[in-house]
Amino acid sequence: MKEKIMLVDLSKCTACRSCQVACKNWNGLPAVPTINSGTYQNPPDLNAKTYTLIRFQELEARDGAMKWLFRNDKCFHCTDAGCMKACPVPGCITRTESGAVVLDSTKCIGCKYCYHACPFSVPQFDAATEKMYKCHWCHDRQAEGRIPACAKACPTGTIQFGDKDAMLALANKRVKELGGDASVYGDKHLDGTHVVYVLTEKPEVYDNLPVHPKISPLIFLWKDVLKPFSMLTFLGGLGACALYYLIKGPKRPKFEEGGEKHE
Amino acid sequence: MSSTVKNSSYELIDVTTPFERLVHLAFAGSCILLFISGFSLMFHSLSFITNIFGGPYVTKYVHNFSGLLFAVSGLFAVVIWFKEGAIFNADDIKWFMKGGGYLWTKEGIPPQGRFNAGQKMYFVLKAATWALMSVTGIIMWFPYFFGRELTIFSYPLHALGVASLAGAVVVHGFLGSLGNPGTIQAMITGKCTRAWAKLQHAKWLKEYDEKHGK
Repeated sequence: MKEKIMLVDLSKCTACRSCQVACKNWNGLPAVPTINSGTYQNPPDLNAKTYTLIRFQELEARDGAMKWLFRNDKCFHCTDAGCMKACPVPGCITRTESGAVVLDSTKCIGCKYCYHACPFSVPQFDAATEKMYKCHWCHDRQAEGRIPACAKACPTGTIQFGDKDAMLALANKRVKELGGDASVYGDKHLDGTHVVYVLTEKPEVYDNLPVHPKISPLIFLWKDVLKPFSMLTFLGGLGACALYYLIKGPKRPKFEEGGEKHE
Repeated sequence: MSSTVKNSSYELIDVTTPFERLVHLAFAGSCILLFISGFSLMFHSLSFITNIFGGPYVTKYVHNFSGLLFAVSGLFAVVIWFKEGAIFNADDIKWFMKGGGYLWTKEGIPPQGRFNAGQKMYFVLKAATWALMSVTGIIMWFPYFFGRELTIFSYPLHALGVASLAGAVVVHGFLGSLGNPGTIQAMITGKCTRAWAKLQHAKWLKEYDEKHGK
């Protein structure tokens, strides 16, 4: 399978939430009861039963009028994925040929490392099952030659799914058409995310969207420096003891016969 | 050649209290469990070790709860051994200068108290990492409660604690067993032979004898 990209052209989104519903439908996810918090955004954030979400944002336009910003939020399926780096269980978070980062919740141990290692805080914890859940890019549909459910359901052409080169060309073309503050988001981050936005505003305008998403250097310090170093000191200690025992041997007390008075 | 013969080198004398042995057992046992479970989760290549606990999911809980035992027993360890373990004297400096008699010379090692300078150094390392590992461990256990910044700082700090302990724990375990015959029973039954005490902790033995009117 060729590497794919999901292009999300936010200039076309009408916040119909077909993607949200189709995702729930395909994955058999129940609705989560929520409380009206004064926004159309519902549920308030991604959760263990909501893998994709339309974020509603009210923006003041230049003439003082209100303007909607809609953003289809979900896992970005990063090439350099923080969740994969942090996950302690082999085979729990894997990558498919098309570029999907798939979290197998049945293998998850609920350590939650992936949540903070993810620059977008995408993986979500379910307290009932003690496992993490996130968008898996419908890798099961992709394996059957279908496109992800959200892309299939999108009626406006906001979510498009196709080969990497074609989608990136399309994204750049669309940004040129839109002009102004429009930009492509994702293709240059984290070695290229597999979900790529066409933003109509500057990235910093969008809520919950990091301008320069990157895996924290502390995660690298943890996994790439101190982790191997701890194995090194362990083996070093083991080696030193073995050498000492072979060369010098044990330090044995001297036993003498009889009950002579101690100094 | 009987252990009941007073003042013979075979005489068994009490070197640790039952409470000390209990604290040491809990602290050491939890520490070893933490190392096994922690390493088996930290290194994908060691993941097969999680099978001894029943898989990665159980291993996580083994790590969490032996961590609690580590935190509690460590608190007792720090309290009961602080005076003997954390205060260094001139003899300790001399001991360090001679490498404790383990490396290049066996001569001129100053007589040591109940803890020698190396054991004191290990105590200080252990006390520091006990605090570090307990605090960062609790934060890593509840990352939603403590938030992103604290959690993400705790990850490398926890690994730093492992890195600074891993070698030391192995050396400590070796010196307390194979390296110095006669030491294990001090941890288990609390007794040591007079010969062992004379070799390892002569200053303490002198104080012991003075206290017991010899």
